[in-house]
Amino acid sequence: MLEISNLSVSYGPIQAVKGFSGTAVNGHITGILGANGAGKSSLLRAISGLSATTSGHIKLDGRDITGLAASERAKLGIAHAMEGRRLFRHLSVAENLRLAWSFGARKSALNKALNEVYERFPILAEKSGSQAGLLSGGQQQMMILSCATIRDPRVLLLDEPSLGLSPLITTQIYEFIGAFSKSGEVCVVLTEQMAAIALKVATDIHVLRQGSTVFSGEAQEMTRDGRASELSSLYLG
Amino acid sequence: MDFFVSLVIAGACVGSVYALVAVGLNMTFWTTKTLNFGQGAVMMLSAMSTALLVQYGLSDVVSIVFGLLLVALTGVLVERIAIRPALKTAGSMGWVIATLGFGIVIQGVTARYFGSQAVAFPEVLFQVQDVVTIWGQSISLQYLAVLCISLVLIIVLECLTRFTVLGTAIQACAQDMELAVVQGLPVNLIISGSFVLSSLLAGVAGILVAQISGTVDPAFGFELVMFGFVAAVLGGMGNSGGALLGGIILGITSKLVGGYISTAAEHGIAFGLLILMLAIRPQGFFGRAEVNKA
Amino acid sequence: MNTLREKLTTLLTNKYLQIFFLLTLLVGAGYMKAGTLQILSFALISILFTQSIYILTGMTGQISLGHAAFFGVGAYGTAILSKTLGLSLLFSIPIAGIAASLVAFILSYPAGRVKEVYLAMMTLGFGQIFLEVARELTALTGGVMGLSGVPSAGLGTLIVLGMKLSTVDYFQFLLLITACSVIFVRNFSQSRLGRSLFLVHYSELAAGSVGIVRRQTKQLAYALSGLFAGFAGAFYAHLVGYLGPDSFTISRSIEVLVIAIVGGLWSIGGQILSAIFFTFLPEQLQVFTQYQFIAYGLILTFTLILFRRGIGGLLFSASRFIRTSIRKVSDKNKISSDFLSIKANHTNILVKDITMKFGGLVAVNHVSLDIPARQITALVGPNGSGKSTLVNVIAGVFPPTAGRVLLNDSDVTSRSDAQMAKLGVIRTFQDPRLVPHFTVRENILLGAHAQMSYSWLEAGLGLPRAYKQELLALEQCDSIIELLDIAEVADQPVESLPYGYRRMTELGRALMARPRVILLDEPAAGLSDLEMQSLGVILKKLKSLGITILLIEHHMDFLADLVDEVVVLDSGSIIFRGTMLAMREDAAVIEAYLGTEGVEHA
Repeated sequence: MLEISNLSVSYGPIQAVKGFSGTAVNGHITGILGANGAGKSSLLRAISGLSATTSGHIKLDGRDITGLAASERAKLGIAHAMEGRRLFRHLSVAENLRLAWSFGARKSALNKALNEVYERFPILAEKSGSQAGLLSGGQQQMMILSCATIRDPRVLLLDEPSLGLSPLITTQIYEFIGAFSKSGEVCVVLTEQMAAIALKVATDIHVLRQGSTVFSGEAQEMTRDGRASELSSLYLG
Repeated sequence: MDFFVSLVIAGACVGSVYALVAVGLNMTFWTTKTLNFGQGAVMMLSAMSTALLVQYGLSDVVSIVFGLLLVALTGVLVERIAIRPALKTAGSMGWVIATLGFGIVIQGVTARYFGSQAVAFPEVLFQVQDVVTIWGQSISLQYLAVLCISLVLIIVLECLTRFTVLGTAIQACAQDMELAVVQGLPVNLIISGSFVLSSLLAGVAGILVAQISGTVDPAFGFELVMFGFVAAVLGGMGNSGGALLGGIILGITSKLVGGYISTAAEHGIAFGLLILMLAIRPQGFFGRAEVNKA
Repeated sequence: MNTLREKLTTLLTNKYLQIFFLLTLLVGAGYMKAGTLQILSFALISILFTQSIYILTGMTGQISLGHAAFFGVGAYGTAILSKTLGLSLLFSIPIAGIAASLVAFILSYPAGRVKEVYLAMMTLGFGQIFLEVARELTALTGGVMGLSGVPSAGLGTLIVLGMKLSTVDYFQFLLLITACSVIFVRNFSQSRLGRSLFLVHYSELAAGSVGIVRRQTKQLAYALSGLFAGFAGAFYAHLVGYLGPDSFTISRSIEVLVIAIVGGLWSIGGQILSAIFFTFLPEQLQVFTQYQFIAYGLILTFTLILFRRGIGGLLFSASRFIRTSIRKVSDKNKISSDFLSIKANHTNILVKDITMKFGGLVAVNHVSLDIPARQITALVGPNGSGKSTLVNVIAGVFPPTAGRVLLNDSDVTSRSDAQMAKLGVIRTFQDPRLVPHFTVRENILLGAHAQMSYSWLEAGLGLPRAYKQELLALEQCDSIIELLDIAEVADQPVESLPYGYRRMTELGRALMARPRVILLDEPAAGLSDLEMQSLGVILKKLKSLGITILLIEHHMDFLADLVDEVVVLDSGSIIFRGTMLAMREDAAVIEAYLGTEGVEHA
């Protein structure tokens, strides 16, 4: 479980996140929505430790991790798939996966873990020797997700997983995310600009605007008829 | 013809050492985008300490091991003392000056306490006179040994980089440091490790060159760094195979120029090749052209 | 502490005191011991040499590890010309200096295309080459044995125009030359070219955005640096009368670097003191010579990390980069900011079928867009939609893969960013790229670089043309400061100011570049509500002055009352164009931001 209380993140003078509070529970998906510049990525970076926080606390299963370095948090089981489809482009798919597994929790043997990935996304098996940078957007995202999950994380942070992907691939990826979230002791926090798809899988959502939280509640509140225009105005003004 | 062949062999041999230095420079460039401008002093340190320890009576092997341990330690220190603080506070090029200074301190201390005179380097690999005759050409065994050792080391390193998890981790750090951190890679350790490796390579290079030239003095190694750098640039900064090719081309070209034109021009040609490469193809033979999305 | 510094600085920069000091030395030279005279002469040459590092490293941030070579070219140059060829010193010295400058210029040829560390390595290599050449070309340079018999004051063989110069004469001559060169360099640092050197170092993109041509600027820095080093070498040759290659080793290159760093890379005054100190030190402290090398190494390793501003930073107030004499006049003249409308010219930009690919990624996909004159247009869109790429293409940062850009019907597609800036297309950046230790005023003044035309020579000599152009630019600068309402911080270094001021400073710099079209990249990011309001007012004023405005923004509220039209990009293509009101209701926009289901329910 991830508990965040009153978290603020600043990049020098720019206040990217202003006093965010929320909880992510095992087995459920928490969605962070908002237009770009809203602070979604900054929030995830604060959780994984890449960005410093100016105030507030983060607790992982009751333990305060606010002061820990990113590498420590990674060891504790926080996996972060950053925005922009970040991967090691000149390494092969197999090397990316092996690297991710090597520095993860290693709950299962490498071969077993790899087979699981290849079964779920057969195209990755086909492309396992290819340079990651040469894969298509959708294939890259599959690999990135698999690199995050192969670490057997306790917290999975996904930054705009659907960005730039076709509806078909997005559905595929979200099916996987949904299944993964229910499978074990992991809580998933994902950000999306494309609210629709996130609303389908998320249990709780928070909508951010210029760093402030403008809505926090259950996803189904937002999907009821007539609320969509409200969501649109939260984004677009 | 004999003259030509002997120059080519000497060039290939000396070039392989340049390649060794270049591969070492690549290591730290991968992980931190910096180079140790005082690398020459590191080379001198290993050669000097080996020579002195042998003089004091220790065996060759022990002296070499000690020399290499010393430079490994130097690698850790230069990263901690010069590189890391400079990257934080001294602007984009402060580390150049800081590492240069570090090398100068090493050189200065050595000169102060051991004198500026050249010290004889023991004959560890064969004897100077040992030759072998291949195809009627008389080749020094020392040269051959140096060539082989360098090649083997470079190949071993390439294998390590490609086929081990540590090697993959180093490549990962070079490509995207932040991503490496977030995936739990021990980035600080990898950085230190790259500096240790780089210094070890320089240390070996220093010993090999000292073996061939026969002596070491505190100012030794300085020019080798430049040749190593040129080799790295020729091959493509960050590319090991390129470093090898660059080193050997550099070595052979400079020896040929030295033999047929004048020994002074040996250095000039290195410089000339550097300018030519930077003007025509800055990314070297095998480097990737940088695409800037601004 | 600060007032002590200020007092000391005022004291030492007082013209009358400086003249008095100079006169004392000039007259006192006749009464000094030969030894003292010689050390002081060496100190003067060291000051001259250090100035070459000030220009290259202090101002332009380039590191040279082989400057002894340029010093040597000057030394051997004049020695050979005057001794072997019998040329008069009136010719041999300038020719030698220019030769060194030329060599530095050639060396810097790849500057701007390669990373700076490569240039550092090249200078290192060049230093070694020079040494080898000096040792080898025995016929020319005397080889390892050196070149003796160079006309020198010490030997009484220095004859110019039929007059024999004594050591006293030579010292007085050196003193005057050094004083003039210090003034020259200080004038240069306070000129448009001098300031541009700093910006090129801190942000190449920002330099391009105001019309500074990066490569030329770096080459100028190398050439000037070589010139000063060459002259220093030439004077050295005629002081000592004998040249050996050992005087031009890496030790000398390192020494001059140490002097400059200890003095403070940005402080002329500090470097002067440092040069004098290091000239006297080996004489005074015999033990120093034993540990000299180690000391230099320690200084190099730690000074930039622990003691960045050196002696200059410790003793003096920060250097300023605008001439005080001009400030005094401009502070009195007030002009209005309406001058901005003169070049504005009601320009529109037409983007025709632009496609931008990076490898396999299509960032901008066949976009055609008309950015009309007399209007504020906003460019919005989700992450990765291609907004920044499109602006970069328009601004000339890189050429498009396909398509054309037209400025008032003339094709400007393949122009560079500096060229586009000179045509009046000015852009700002997401994070303000300023020179941190420059004041607001100095940073804004950088924008006028391409609007002025005086050369480095006119700058250094303080000629009237330079003076007039600077004055006009300063007056315009002041009016822009008034327009942006930042007068109260105008003389503070930007690194100490809150973000809102830095944002305004960058806008001010853009305005000084006399834009016809201004492209703003997320100008509202990080601003408080109040600051955003001010920005909105300013943008409306700019529109009334005839400047065409394009904004990339995410902040919808900020755009609400401000923009005439909004263009929405998604995945590299335009999906909407119209008013803000209409945008909020548009199905395609909602889908792009929220996803399909958002549309179904709307």
